[in-house]
Amino acid sequence: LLIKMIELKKVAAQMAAVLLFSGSVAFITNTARDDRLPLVMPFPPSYQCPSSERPGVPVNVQQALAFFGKQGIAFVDARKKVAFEQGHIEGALHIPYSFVEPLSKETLDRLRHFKVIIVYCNREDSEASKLLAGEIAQAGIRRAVYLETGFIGWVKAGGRYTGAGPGSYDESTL
Amino acid sequence: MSFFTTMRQFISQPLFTALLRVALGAVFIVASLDKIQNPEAFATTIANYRLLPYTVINGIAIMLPWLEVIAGTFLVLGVWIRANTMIVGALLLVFSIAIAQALVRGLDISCGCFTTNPVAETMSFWTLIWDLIWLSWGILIWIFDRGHYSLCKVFTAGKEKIVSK
Repeated sequence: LLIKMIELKKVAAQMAAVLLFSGSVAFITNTARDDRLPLVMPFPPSYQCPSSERPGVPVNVQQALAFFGKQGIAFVDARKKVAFEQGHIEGALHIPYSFVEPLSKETLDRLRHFKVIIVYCNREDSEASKLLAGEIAQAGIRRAVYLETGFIGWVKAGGRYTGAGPGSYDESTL
Repeated sequence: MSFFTTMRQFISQPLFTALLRVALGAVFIVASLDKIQNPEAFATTIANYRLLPYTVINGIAIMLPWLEVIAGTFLVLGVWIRANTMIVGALLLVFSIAIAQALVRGLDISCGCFTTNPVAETMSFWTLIWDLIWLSWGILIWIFDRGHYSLCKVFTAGKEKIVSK
């Protein structure tokens, strides 16, 4: 048993050496090359959605206001829970965008009942709403669009909402 | 003599285990080359699995191909066989889990095992089977390879000859 323990310790030390050596070579090489990768992937990450359908398209706030309250129209809030709980477009569904976790079959089945799905975040340049609308569209629900101006633009244009206005929101909540 | 005893005798032959080790090392070397050349495409391939937060993907895309090529080369040469078999085995286990979860979730993505081209290699059940086959090679190497036909053995044999003279 003692010999086995010594052998395993030796193997662990050798593994650590290989890992350390590989890591050093990898990061030195990456730093030296012209097409080096940043150590942290910028958001939004480029990735392939589960199917080859077309991604979602933008909708402006006036079009969204015209859709509001009509049957078969769903507003989907793609922001984090804390932002949704602070305030959201009246009657909106909360489906926070997650890069790691694709939309479940149950969620997609729930969304299939709507004629138009308008996904929104806080700001005009928020990426999560575009990504989520794209993901919904690529799952085969073609009438998924994202609100260009986000929740902030919606409130400015006089759209109805529940909870607090978006003025005090933390930028990181998308 | 039973079938299993015969098989065990065959598998434990130094030449057979050495061939398995060289083959597994070669698989890893070949698998790493395109990833080293195209780190950005490889980062996208990892992102497609949607298994890891995007913040760690680039770090893995930078390091993983080099770990593959170095561990693979060491296996081919027979340097630190058990340590490198353990690394390669752990990688294969992680790859198998990643592929299995992608298949279960129905992600229509490329495996990215040997090429970073997203349309060249569509993932299938066979991708997982191959990973498990290579993992079984790793287990056999861990159990039976005693360093025959390795660089270390060549050096040791050389030293022994000098001492005996």
